Amino acid sequence: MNWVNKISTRFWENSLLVFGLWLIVAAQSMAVPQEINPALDSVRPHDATMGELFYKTKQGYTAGTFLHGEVDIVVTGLLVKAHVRQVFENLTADWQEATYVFPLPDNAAVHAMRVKTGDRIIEGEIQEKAAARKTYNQAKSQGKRAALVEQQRPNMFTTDVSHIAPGDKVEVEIEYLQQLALKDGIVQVRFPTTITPRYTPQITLQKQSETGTTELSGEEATNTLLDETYRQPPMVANGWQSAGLESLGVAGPPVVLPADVARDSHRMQVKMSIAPGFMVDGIHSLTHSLHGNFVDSSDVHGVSGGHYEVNLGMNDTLMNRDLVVEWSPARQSEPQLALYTEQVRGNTYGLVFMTPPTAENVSTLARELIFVIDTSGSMGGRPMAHAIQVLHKALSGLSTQDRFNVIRFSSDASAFAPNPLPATAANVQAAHAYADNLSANGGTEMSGALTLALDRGSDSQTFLRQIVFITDGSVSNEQALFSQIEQSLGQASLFTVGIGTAPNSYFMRKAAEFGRGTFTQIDHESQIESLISQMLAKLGAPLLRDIQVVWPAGIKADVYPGRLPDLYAGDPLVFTFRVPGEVNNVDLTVQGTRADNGRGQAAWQKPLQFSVDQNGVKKGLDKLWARSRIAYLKDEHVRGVAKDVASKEILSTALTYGLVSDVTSLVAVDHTPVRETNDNDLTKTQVASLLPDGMANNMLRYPKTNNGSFLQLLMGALGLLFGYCLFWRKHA
Amino acid sequence: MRRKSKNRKSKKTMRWLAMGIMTLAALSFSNGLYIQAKAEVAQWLLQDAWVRTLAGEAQAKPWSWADIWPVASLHYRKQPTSTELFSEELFSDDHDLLVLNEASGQGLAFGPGRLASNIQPGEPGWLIIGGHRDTHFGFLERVTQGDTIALQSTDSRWHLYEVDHIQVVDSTNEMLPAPDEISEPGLILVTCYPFDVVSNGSLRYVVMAKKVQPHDNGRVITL
Repeated sequence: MNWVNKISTRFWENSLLVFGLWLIVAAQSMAVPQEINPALDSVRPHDATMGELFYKTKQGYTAGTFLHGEVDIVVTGLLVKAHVRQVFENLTADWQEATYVFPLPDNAAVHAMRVKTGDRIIEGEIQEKAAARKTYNQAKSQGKRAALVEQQRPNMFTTDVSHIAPGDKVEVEIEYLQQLALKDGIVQVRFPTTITPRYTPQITLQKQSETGTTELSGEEATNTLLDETYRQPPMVANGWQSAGLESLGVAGPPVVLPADVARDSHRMQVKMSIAPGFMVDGIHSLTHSLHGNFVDSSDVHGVSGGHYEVNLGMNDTLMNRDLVVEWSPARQSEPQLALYTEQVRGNTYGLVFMTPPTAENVSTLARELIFVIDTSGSMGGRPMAHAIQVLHKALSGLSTQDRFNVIRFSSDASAFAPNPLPATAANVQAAHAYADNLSANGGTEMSGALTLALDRGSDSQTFLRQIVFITDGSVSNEQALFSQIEQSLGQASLFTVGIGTAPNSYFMRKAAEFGRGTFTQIDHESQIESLISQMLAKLGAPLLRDIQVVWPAGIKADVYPGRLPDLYAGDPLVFTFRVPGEVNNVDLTVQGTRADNGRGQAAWQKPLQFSVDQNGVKKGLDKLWARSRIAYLKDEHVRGVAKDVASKEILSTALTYGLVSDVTSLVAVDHTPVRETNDNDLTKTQVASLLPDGMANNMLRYPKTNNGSFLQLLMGALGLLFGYCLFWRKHA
Repeated sequence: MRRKSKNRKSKKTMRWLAMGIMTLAALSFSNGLYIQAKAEVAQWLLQDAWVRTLAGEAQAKPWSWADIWPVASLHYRKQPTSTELFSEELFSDDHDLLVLNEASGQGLAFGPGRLASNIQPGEPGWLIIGGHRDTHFGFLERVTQGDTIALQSTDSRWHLYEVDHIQVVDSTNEMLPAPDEISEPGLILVTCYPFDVVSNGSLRYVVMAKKVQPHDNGRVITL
């Protein structure tokens, strides 16, 4: 008995020992930041680079600021009023200055900003860009809380907030107006939430490093493809920019994964209230799951017929892809015309949406289709797969009389064939195989691809030349590319197909506009089939061209866009106008040239007469008109109008109508200092942007290279040993 | 009497507990083994696909439902120094690996993978290959500056790269170099770091090599 007891005690001891060992190993393996093995130093000459960035700021920048978004979107008919609230919470022990780069819809008219802390609300005011920055910097140096909202590109903005106390929250609310359109029978609201890293061409960077500035003379700007003097975000690698702003001394994190930001950070709550103004087949989204219901009240919109209240459910939504919400008119209720009018400060403003006459859009000419596909690094992952699918679909849609070619580009551009080939079965088959072998990698040198696509002159008499551009538009030299399209398009037309979950819609829409084509965005794989067939059907000649708005003699109306684009079947005609004085009736005629069912062309016109709304409801049509005017003035610069002339006009328009533009910003200053003037140290933090959903992160990130098999083997072996001891304890 | 039944009861609980622990442990162990076995077997199956690739088949798949295929063959042999010329290590540190077309989590279980780039061995630019530390790329621990790594491209040609730089980076903060950052052919091998810790971490071990011409400056290069 005695020896049995002895053995059993020994067993207990042994078991405890094993258990203890197991605990030690387990605990060790849980400890994540491992010490570097000093023995390795001898083989690593450059180990000083290791972890350098990580220790630059005390907390590591990604966790420094907590970001929460709240988005309220009210849609009345085709007009959008949106409130975007960005809540910044300082997670560090230091006073903080936060900078956040964020996207907004590219036709957003940003007209108001206010800062809220606790009960205090400070309203922002519009100032010239440089003056606004000066106001902000001055307030900052005086220990005052201030906020600044700047436009970096038409769809990329920044918010700066100074003096956020440790553990404190500051809310910046931004208001914008936007107009929607009924296109291809669908009304779509798009709210972008993150920015795909943009690419800056090498030639621009070269220039930048030589002169130390991005400011160039007008001629230089055109020659070097550089257009803007915006704050340039830092490079991730070789021309790729993150959404960070390292040039301003801000330690900018690259685009990060949701796991890299503070827990529950970078999420937003979205509420939408939609009064479509016509019978709809419900409200849909291909990007998010929608919740909500129909409310039969006119409280929110002031219009009868009720509205839909829509949200994204109980949980907050990650800010890593565009939110797209759509609705379509029910059968028989498709509106042909929508008119909005408003009298503001002695002027009458109007916004007109028209669906042009539908007709069989048959072209007798055979087509020469040039597919240009973006294979740059930002397309990596799902975007590349979708782009290839689009190409397959488009290739299958070719008819035997057509000619075609495929051009791919990243850091360089190359073509499937030296010259466009007839679309024979064998050629198309070879092109399909070519498409399958494409992979995403390198920069986005788009200009070369455009040259290749546009300059291959062929007889446009017998072939209708069309270019289909498949890309995510992640470039930062938009204006220069527009110039190139404008100058070398000739008889061709350019269609853009947008890919990715956070595309640069501004580039896509404008490129198609300058290219006299249309823009199709693919938000979901399921759309490829239908949207590409729709686009291919449009690829005939435009339905309506040379469109003009004619006013009765004596009325001096300002219509924007100043040049109305050609329309393809399904495209809406949208324009805004301003008529001096408070007129009661508007009487105008829209006219153009219409493709007449393959029989040539015919003049077309449509008179519009309507009385002006005088109910005093503020729709903000004056601001939307001013936004259209600014967009037109920017386009005029691309078309060759001197930049300073355009800028001056933009400045006066933006200041008069209180809009954020590339020359004006909103700034808010709380005149009661939050800190002592002599106690002004601030940690600058750059709030990270999330990597767009579906985009491969291996352009930016190292792969995960641990299988975990060692851990499993070790834990398994120890567990078995321990269990074995326990099991046989009494049997010994 | 009472004491005995209590004993029996506790003994029974203990046995159930023990069996539970052993079952869990066995599952964990076998999963670990499975990962290791999968890594070995996949490489073996890939050999056949590689032979077909060299014979001209495009995207030769190792098994019919695979979505991976070999794009290069990687060869590394520790160059013997005079002292260890006859040591056992010389024979064990000989690695032949097939590199896959992609470096996704799934693909990496079967072999090291090429990262989002279509750069072929011998072409200008960084050819970046990632691999698991606990299976295929464990040998990187013993790679030192000056070592030669050989890559065979799909056109059967061999390309020699000489290791010129080894570093550890924090993957949460540092980016991979862009493939077109250099104009000469370069090779980057990436795996997890440290090698001898069982858990996951954000550190990566990066081996950088530049293409060299086959030479015979005292060293024997056998392929």
